[in-house]
Amino acid sequence: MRSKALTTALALTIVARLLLSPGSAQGGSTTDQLQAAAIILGKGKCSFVTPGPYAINFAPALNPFSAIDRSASVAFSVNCTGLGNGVSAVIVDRVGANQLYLSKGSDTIPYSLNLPTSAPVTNNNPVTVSLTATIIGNAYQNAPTGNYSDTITINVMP
Amino acid sequence: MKKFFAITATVAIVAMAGSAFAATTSTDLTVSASVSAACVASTTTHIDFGALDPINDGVTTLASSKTSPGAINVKCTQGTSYTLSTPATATIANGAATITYTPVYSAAANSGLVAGANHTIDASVDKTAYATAPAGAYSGTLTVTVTY
Repeated sequence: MRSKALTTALALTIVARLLLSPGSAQGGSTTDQLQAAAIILGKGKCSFVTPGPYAINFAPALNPFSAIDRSASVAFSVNCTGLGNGVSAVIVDRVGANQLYLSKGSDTIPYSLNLPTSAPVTNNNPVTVSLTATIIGNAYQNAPTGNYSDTITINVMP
Repeated sequence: MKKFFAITATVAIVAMAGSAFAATTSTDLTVSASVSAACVASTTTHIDFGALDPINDGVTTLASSKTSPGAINVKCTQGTSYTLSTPATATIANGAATITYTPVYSAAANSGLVAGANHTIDASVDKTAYATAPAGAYSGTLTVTVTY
């Protein structure tokens, strides 16, 4: 794969050189600007001090006749090692960016998940990360009785 | 050509560093909630026998045949099954004098509606219950229980 890329790049370079070579019969010059970009990748690895899965449970049960905004949280510790220079935060995110729903069969209750996009961290010094799920009152005021749940994937990285 | 090879080498090193050092750790998070079965009830109409006539009334009189039956509105979490119940008999009083009547309603199970459902609570009184009752205004409270 890499050799193919090199071959392709080499071919392109040759073509470019052919195109850019100053002709002997015609003088002149031209300039252009190239944009350069890079992604600095964090070194090291972060792991959950207590292995998951984790759970957020809304308790007591939601009462549609007293439909108020409800929140529930879970906290866990993340330990990072092998952090390179300049890496001072652990990034926390979830898989997907879609609207989240608790579900019971075809019945659903929308909710949101508030997670810190990053938390300060140093080598081998566990940091506590807290996630809070929120259901607004009018999201369940017509919800049928029963148990609702959802499972999402949480990622941590340096 | 020298510049080209130098740039190519740099890109390759960065790509290798990414795969070797950047690491993502994942875990599952389960979020759960329960919606409780709940009901609320409110009176929409009171039972009113109107004027009872110990001489001209029939053997039994229904409130609905005189003035009005009672009614309650029951709202329950969608799908919650519930039933209504009352005491077998209840009384209305005027001081120490009392008249006993019988609540009349459907005790069949209902499926809850958030929008609510109206239930008629009628009442029946035998003429013998007020044949000797002193004239006057009688009143009392009937407790309707919603079980879910």
